[in-house]
Amino acid sequence: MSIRSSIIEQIHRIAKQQGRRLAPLSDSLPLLETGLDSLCIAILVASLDDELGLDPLSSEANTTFPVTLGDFINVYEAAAVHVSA
Amino acid sequence: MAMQTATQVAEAELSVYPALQRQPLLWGDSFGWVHHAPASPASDVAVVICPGVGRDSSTGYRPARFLADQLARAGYTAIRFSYPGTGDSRDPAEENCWPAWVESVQSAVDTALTIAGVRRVVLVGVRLGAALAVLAASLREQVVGLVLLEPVVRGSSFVTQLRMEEKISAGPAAVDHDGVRIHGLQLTTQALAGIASLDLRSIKLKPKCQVLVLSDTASAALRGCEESWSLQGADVVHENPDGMSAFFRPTHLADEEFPDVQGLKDWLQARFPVAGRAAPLLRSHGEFAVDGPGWTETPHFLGIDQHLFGILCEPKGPAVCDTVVIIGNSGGDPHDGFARFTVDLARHLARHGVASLRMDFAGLGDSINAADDSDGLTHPFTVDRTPDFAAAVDFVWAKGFRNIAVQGLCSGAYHALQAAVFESRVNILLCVSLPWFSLRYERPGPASFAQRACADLEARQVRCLLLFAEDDAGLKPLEQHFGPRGRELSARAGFDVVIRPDIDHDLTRPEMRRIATDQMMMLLRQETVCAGPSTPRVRHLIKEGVL
Repeated sequence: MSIRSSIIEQIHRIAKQQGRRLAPLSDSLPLLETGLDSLCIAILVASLDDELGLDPLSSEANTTFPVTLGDFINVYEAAAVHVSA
Repeated sequence: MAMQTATQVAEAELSVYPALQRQPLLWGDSFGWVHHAPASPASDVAVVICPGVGRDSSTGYRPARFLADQLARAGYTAIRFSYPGTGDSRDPAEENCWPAWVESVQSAVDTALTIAGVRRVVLVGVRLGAALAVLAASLREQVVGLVLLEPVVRGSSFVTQLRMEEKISAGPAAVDHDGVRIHGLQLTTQALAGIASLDLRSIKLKPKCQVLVLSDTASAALRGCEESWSLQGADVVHENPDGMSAFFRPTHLADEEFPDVQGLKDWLQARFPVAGRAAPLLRSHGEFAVDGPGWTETPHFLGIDQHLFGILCEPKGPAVCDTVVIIGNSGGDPHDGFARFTVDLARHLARHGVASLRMDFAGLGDSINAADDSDGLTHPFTVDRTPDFAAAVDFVWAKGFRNIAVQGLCSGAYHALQAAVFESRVNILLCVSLPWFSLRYERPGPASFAQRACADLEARQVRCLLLFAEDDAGLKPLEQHFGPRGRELSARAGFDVVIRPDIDHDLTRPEMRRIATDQMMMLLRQETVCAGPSTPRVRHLIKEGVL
């Protein structure tokens, strides 16, 4: 499964679990307008750490949080490339 | 162990429903409950429910109470509790709460063994509580089964979650402290290190431990964990937690559904069948108080049917004050409040000489609906809570309090307003983030409920604080009825309308909760005097042998 697919799948899973209604997802959609609140996004980051072994947002180097869903996916895709390199 | 003798049960205030007993408990620093069905055939296995922490604790509170009821009815004595520093429990002596949390699960196992008179225990854990349950199971022969609901497998990823949420909640403001402060949790760097060190894949379970994993994901980490335990000889079953999402949903939804726990019960009954032995009588130790610096708390059942539950928090010390603040639920959060605000507020008030009763409305938290024990009605707004406040007022009145305040946040503020209007013994109203005055839109004017209610409160000389965040949605109805920034209301005798730029609707951050506390304390100080020697409160305390 691609990084993008994993992220989208986790977003749907967490939204269902937490009783959240999702907006139509697109890369330009701000993360906090997807329907996920801060807790859901935090769970998403933790779940991706468990699922993919990637935690790019917790590193000290990453001081800015991605704004849109596309930015978020890009950070993880870049981290996956970095790990496999 | 000393813990066992310290376990105390509020015998005098048993639930009135004979089929099922719910009794508050205290052991060590942990406040908890035992659920027991004395008339049912009993299992020789007791169940301990280890809750999640933070928001998981709030959302899972009512579902855990329901689960404990269902288990008790099926013959399994069930214990649930709050970790030290969470819920109604005392704060741990050390700043680093992690060792106290680990120890509290062990103590809960001991308590279950003692109270239920059994030799075996099954632990049900939710999220981080599941990880704590696994840790306890690895150390105790008596733990023969585990039910893990969406378990935290790697503590480090949970720490990531906490840090991430704090970072997002803080917004542009930098997080300027060590550790994590979120949802009422204050986790030091040492506590975070303790949590992060936990990895369920490396924990060895006792041979033949029965494990039910309820998770809608099979992450690489969780799969690794399950494979590892199976290889060690544990019987591991993974099921989808259909119907268990009530443990995680926000608590402000309409008429919250209970979780479907049938699958969990089936698993339990298949592996640990009810033996048919007579249910033991619970050991009881009389009423108990939870003490802390400057405060003492006692659990109470209220109302004609004793169906409501509340905790009376009183000042410790020689001065007697006849002021009490009755605090209701916000949304569906239990009586400890969003981010444990209600507990912190109650103990702060007590340290400043003011008592409080934090209570659950019928059907929420630890209170049940009086009529049929069905617990079905929980809508945060449409269920009339004035009978619940009236029961609370009766309770504190009987204890001699004559200066009675009602307090609430959001939907709690709405219900507090209704209570202040309809209960003439209330003389102080403390509303935080009042969303509206009435559920239906009303044309502004003298005939509106808002105008009539406030005129009535003014005529009765009720002191009122209406506290809002600068961008609160509740300002719209306020301004519709009382002009820009509610100035027409502020001009009336007894009303303080305070609009602050440094808080938000939910009082999300600790400093916002401090601001709200200070605002309420300011008003209470103006209205509070020490009770004289012949006041009802003093006479009550003399009669009770306290003075």
